[in-house]
Amino acid sequence: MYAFLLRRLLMMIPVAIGVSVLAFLFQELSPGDALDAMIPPDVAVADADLEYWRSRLGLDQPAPIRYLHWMGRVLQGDLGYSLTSHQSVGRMILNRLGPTALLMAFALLLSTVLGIATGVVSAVRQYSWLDYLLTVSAFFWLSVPGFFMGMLLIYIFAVWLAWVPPFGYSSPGAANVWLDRLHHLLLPGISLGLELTAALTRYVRSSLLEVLGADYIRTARAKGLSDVVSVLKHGLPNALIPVISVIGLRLPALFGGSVVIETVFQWPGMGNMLVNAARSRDYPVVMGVTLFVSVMVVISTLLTDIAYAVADPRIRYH
Amino acid sequence: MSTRKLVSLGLLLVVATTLVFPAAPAAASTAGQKILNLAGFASYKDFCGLTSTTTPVTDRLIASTLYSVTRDGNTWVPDLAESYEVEGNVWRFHLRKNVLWHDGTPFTAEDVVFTFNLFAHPLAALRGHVVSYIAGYDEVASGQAQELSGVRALDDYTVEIETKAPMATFLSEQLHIPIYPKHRLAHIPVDQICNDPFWTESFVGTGPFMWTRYLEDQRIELTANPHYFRGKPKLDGIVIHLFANAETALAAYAAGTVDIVEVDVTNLDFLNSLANTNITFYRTLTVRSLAVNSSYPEFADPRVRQAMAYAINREPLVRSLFRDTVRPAYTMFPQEWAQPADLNTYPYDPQKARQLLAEAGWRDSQVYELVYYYPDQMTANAMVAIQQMLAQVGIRVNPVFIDPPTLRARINDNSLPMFYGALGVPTDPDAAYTTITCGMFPPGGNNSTRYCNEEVDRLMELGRVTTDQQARVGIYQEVSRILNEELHWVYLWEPLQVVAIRSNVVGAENAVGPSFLRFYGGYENIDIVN
Repeated sequence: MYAFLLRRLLMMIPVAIGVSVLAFLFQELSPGDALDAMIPPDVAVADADLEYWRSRLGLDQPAPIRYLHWMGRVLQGDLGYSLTSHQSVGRMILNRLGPTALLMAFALLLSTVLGIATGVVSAVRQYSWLDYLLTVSAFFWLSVPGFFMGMLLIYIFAVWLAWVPPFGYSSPGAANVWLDRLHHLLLPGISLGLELTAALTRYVRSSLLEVLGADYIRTARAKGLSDVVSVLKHGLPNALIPVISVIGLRLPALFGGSVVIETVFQWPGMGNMLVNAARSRDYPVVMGVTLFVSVMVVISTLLTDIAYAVADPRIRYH
Repeated sequence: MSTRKLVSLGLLLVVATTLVFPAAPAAASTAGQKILNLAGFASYKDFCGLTSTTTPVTDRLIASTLYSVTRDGNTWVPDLAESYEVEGNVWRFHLRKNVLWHDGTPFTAEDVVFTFNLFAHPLAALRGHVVSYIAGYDEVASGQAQELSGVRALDDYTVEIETKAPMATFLSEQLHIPIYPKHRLAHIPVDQICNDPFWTESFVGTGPFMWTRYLEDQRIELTANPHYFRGKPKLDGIVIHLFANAETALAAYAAGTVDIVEVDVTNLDFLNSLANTNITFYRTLTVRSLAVNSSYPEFADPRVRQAMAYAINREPLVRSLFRDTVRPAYTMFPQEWAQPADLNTYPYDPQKARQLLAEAGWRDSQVYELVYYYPDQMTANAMVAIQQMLAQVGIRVNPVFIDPPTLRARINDNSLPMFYGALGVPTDPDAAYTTITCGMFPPGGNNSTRYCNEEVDRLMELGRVTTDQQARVGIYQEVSRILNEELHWVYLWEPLQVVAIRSNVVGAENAVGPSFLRFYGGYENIDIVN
């Protein structure tokens, strides 16, 4: 097990390098640089001043040198400085980590609870009107793009019903900071959560259906156990084993979704920062966030594998 | 399993109970204070980070300039200076004596001298308006001098600014220089000034509102300046909420979280359906045009550009698509005094367009990219309409959306056949100098279509140094005639910006205006009434 863990942790190194090279390459392939993004389209800047700025931002260096320079700093634990805000990228990520983690945790929790609940109902009442309703709504949530769903929820719950604020992370001068935050969290959290719930419902449903047909469930029922007990106590734990990996591998989808949701709801997290950085060709920030997220994904995959082994004694890693 | 069920149930309960709590109240009524909530569309940037959309807005609210201007760019308004006089190329400004910085320090001529010198540094260059026209700038730029010899404090309340040559547009140029506090900035080494927390944590100005708090990607909170030299503002504060997209800002307005929002004309019906909303418009002072690249051999002949102008039927576009929120334009200059009455209006005439193309030897073979970078739906619709109109006369274009850095990169490597763009010419036609003269090809200049006419160059130079306004009218009307004939760009229209203002906000109509212009908006008079 320890050898396995060590091997997996070492695997992170080539993954991180690969991801950073790709991220850098995509940045380089998009036309224009940070300086082009900084100058408004109708402003003229003299050649000498352009040169001054290009060298100040290090943009006068060839791309491979810039990458190596960046990598050298990363190895010393320094993610570099943003080209547009001059702040340390590490600090920028730390500042945005809280809001993004909150949003993702809420969405993950919501989607897990709702996904399992609806999946179970769907499987137990297979081919009932409830099953069809849940199946149709699952496909609906799966097919509607996040930004559209976000705007729809804003108009229904913030504009018409006025239950929750339409955007942001906090209100100026709010009396109870945590209640205020929860209020702001609801819409983006639900938007992001429902997207993931739909997929999970389908997984839980099919996994449980498979289990419900198994011999031991028939045995449990033959022993005289009620439907509820046989499903929840004997069926569900076994059906959830494959679902663990689905939940564990949600992180990339969660982050991808939060990029869109954070922009729509003006949530001050990493996704919002990443979009702004990509728009302004701020490559140290894009690289920093990409690297951070890829390491997080690798770690979460590892944790999923461990959880898998814990949940299912048949699985052993070597 | 039952524990898990309990947890899930508990969580659902928490979610359900929070849903029935009332939403956080709109800031306008927070604790009985009058707080105006505005929508801003970019992250706040510092002095070096340059002209984002929001910077001039915060500059207008927090900082002041020597002279300001009304939002139509027509009337000069004394700001930090009470009056001025000009002798040749020397401008003498008499400063107000009752001005305090937000930290209580008196404002003096030394602050003006300091700020102009700060702007002489290349760090300020991305704002696009360095003080290169001031006497002594070349010496500072080349390192021979430390300070601009042309900016002098005669006493605490008199500043003299000497330009290299007589200059008609000095007032327009100084609009780009908000005066910053010497006592807060002078001790910082210039090359570290960008990173200084002054810009984001302790910004100090002389304007009607004081910097209070900046939450990145969220909002900027400002408090009324009780010592403002025009009198204490009626509002207690202003919050500028920062948005990444216009749709969320509009929703925030509809939900009552922001009080003023600028919107795309496609949302006009929605705005009309909202209660307690006043809709107002302002001139953007930019002429949106098809910038056709003169350096492409197929577009070099002015007749090709004239054919495009005749082929575009503006009337239905203006009426149906833009719903009369644009003013047709026939020259680069929005200033009426620079537009002679005899400009060709290029009435829709596809027959004439085809004839001009035939004369110019146009071959209908290639599909050209028609690049645009405004993200609104209106622009996308207009591009499709223009595509169809041009196709009817045999010019095939394909609309392509790109972002501003891509646009700039492609202008620099001269790979754009044409784009839909605009130039802000807010106070004086001279602002077009870097866009229409021969010496201003990219990347150092802004003449993105590589248009060159020596007569235009001569007139634009003459206009700069001519101080007699009557003579300037003649000069710029002549430039208008040439541009209208040769169509350096195919001029289309000047958009009016649609603005929604909540009806209990009074006195804000003149406070909304072109985002790139530091105009005087009378912010101290804005009030929220019940």
